[in-house]
Amino acid sequence: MSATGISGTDEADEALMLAYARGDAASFERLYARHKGPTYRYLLRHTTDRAVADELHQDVWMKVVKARERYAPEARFTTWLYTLARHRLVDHWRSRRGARFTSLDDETDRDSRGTDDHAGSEALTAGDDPLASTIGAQDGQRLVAALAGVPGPQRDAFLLHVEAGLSLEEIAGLAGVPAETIKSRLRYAYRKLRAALEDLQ
Amino acid sequence: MSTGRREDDRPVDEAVDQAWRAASGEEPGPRLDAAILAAARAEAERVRGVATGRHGKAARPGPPRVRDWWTSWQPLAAVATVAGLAFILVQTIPRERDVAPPITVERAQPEASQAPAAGESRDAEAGPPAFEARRATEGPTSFTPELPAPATARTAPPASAPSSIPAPAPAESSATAPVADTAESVATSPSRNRPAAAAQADVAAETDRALGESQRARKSAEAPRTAEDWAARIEELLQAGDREAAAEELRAFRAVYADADAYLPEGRRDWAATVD
Repeated sequence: MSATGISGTDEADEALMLAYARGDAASFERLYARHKGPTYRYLLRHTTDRAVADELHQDVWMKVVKARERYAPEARFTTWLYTLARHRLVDHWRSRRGARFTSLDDETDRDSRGTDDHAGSEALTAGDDPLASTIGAQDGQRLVAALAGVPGPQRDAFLLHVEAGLSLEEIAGLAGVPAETIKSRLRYAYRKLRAALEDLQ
Repeated sequence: MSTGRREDDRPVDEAVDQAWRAASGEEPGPRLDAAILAAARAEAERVRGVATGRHGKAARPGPPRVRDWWTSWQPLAAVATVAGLAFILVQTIPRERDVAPPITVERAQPEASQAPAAGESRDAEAGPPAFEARRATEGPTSFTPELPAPATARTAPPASAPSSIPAPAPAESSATAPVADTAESVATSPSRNRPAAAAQADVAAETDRALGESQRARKSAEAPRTAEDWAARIEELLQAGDREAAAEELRAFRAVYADADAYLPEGRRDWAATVD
């Protein structure tokens, strides 16, 4: 069990979910307040459509509501929640006949191989980078647009890392790939976003 | 600038993370939040309601339990079905009284036996009584031979029979002659010219003979149709002590089955040898 750091409260997500399974609606409200933003943005970044994101977001949380009796805290609540979200995304893409299916796991997605070739480089830097402090609202949109250009698996790893706060191992377990693969995906996504950030200057 | 690695060797770029958090802050709309929370509350309320109902039935009694229509009527329907099946079964079981010929047919027997007597051969006269009785009761159209074919049909005289033989009435037609015809034939027989007493005596004799024939025919009609049944019937009569009737049955049995004795139990074959 782990207490989430998102809301700053001490009570663990898992305890709140178990309390909700016993009929405590207030526990669900706290749980929802903690995770509604990250899950919504995770779905929105993958779909780039607010209406679709609204629909998927509601579906995911209704699944949480319906599955409360089956919930067993064997893993982190967050991992379970994003598993539901990923499955809903895949279902959504599959249901849209004719639309381009954005795989979350396919390593052959465009540009991903180039990432792995540079996986050992130490190009990623941060800290007191002036780029981060000078970014404005319009630039933020360009950053978001840059992420939309990142292939699905890399984008998914980045969002699970940044929005959900999952560890490498948790992301790897969720995606069903080795942790090294997730590491490569993350490096690729960061490199793409870093390049976009530098272009803003 | 800091390196892009954390304790778990996770590649990070804090500048990108910061910029991302600054740029990405969307939240679901309040209506969406309200819908999800309302559904969650309703579900929680339902859970609490179930829990309360499970532990405090006395506090909140449920609606009176109404028995299902089918559950109420199921026993009655089952009883009615069983009764109906039993009735149908009883109706389909054959009874002895249904097999016995009616008395009106019995009275037609003298004519039936007299008319062929003039034209039929000895084989026909020696035909199995069961056959004759069935012919008398069922008539020619409804008769379906189950026993060996009777000699009557084979030995019926052809149309070009010698004139010395009295013209025989067809066996079938005589067998199916109604009672009125029987009376008429008796009245028009040669005994008509005799004195009245002699004629009455003849009529009485004829009637007795006819009755005897008909009784034999009825017994034969009631006789079993398969060799095994016949043997069982003989055994039954012997066990009942009616050796005479058993001997009669055996004779009739032999008339139909040449190897009738072989069907009898071994213990009865000595007795059968005494029956000629």
